[in-house]
Amino acid sequence: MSAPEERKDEDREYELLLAAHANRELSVDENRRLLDLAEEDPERGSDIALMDRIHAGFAAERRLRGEVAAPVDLSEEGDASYRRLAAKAAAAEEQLRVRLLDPQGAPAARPARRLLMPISLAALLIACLCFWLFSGGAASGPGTGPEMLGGKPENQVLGIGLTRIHLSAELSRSRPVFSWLSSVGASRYGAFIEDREGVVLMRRSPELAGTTRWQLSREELQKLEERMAASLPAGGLFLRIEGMDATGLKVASSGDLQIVLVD
Amino acid sequence: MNPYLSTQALTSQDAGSDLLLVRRALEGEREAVEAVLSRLACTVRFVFRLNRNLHCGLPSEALEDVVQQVYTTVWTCLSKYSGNAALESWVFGFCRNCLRSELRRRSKRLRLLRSAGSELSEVVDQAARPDGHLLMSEGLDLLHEELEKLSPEERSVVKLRHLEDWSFEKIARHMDLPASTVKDRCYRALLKMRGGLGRRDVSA
Repeated sequence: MSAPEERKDEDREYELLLAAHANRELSVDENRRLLDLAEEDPERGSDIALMDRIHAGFAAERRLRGEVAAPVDLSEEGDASYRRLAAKAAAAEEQLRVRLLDPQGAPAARPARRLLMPISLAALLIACLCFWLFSGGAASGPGTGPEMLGGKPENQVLGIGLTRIHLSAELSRSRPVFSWLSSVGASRYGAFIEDREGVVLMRRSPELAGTTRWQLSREELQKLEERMAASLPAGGLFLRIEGMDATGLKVASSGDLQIVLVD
Repeated sequence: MNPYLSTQALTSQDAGSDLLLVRRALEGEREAVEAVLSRLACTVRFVFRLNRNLHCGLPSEALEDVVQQVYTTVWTCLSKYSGNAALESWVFGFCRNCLRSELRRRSKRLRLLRSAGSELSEVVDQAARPDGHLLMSEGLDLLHEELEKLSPEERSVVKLRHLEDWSFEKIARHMDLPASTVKDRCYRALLKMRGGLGRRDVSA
């Protein structure tokens, strides 16, 4: 074989090995061969070094993703800025929920400028009407104006008390799910299992805070059964669901419900 | 095990089923909407940790803006979700981009203040150090810039292989292409990226 032909074969071999290296499919022996070929040609060496830099970049990115996707730790949840961020996300999530559940509503809201004039006129009209009513315009007239409604607004509206979350704390081993209806004003829910002293033994993942169900995994169910057995002499375990509004304020609660495990 | 809590969550989610889930959510199906929203809850963790791990130093009010921006972007782009990556991966990209935009915006404002000789610049400087971040994550930013220059098909293959860690066989099945085509496309894309990085080195 002539020297140019040998060089051509070597180039082809190098190209194949480089492709395998780029695709992360190189065996140890092939890697050794690639480095041998690179030693003969500095240009090949710099090509491989650049490819290694790209791989290192991908590895750093994968590492970052791994760190970022790691489970939530309790110290993080306790961080004030994390909690503020979660509250902000809850509000943003609620907006997204409304938009998704009412696909007609969101796009219609966009041509706001077109609606601006009628809305402004309506607001002005209402303001004038209110002014007329409160300044005694209605009473001074010959007819009987609309009376102001008596009584206090409901607690639910004022947010004085908590809305009750209704659910059954009976848990089936074959279908270990707690589920409840969403409460007015609550956009996120915390679900906890506590002992009689109020010590939280298990909690639902905060990732699922926007949903109204808690499906226990096999491990969680096993853990619950163990804790139940241990806590029976002390009075068993209790389920508590709390509903929070967009700002993180507690607006609903189930109270403590004794958990009953059934088959 | 809850897949959203594991490190593998960004890599092993069945992106095909995510696409169906998103389509159902876009049709207003309540259960699907709730499922999508619960998957998006990772946004808080992503933004908080990206800020911390990349040493961005953004204050919490800026992070709140970033979170809001991520959700807004999700709403705008949800109909374009292709299912080429798990929902968490897709959102991760938005978190990263929105954080980067916020840093650049602050960096720009800082430069303006500095050039204007404002006394406020020191205050801003103490509140956030975007310049420091830009240096620290420069390598990753360059990588992403080179990725953005690829065609959508190439970018998709490279991301699935090198960021999502998919096998070529899985990518081939997902894209309905022969594995040899996928390998070749991935290699060509990396050659382009290598060329881009090489040119940057020369110009630097």
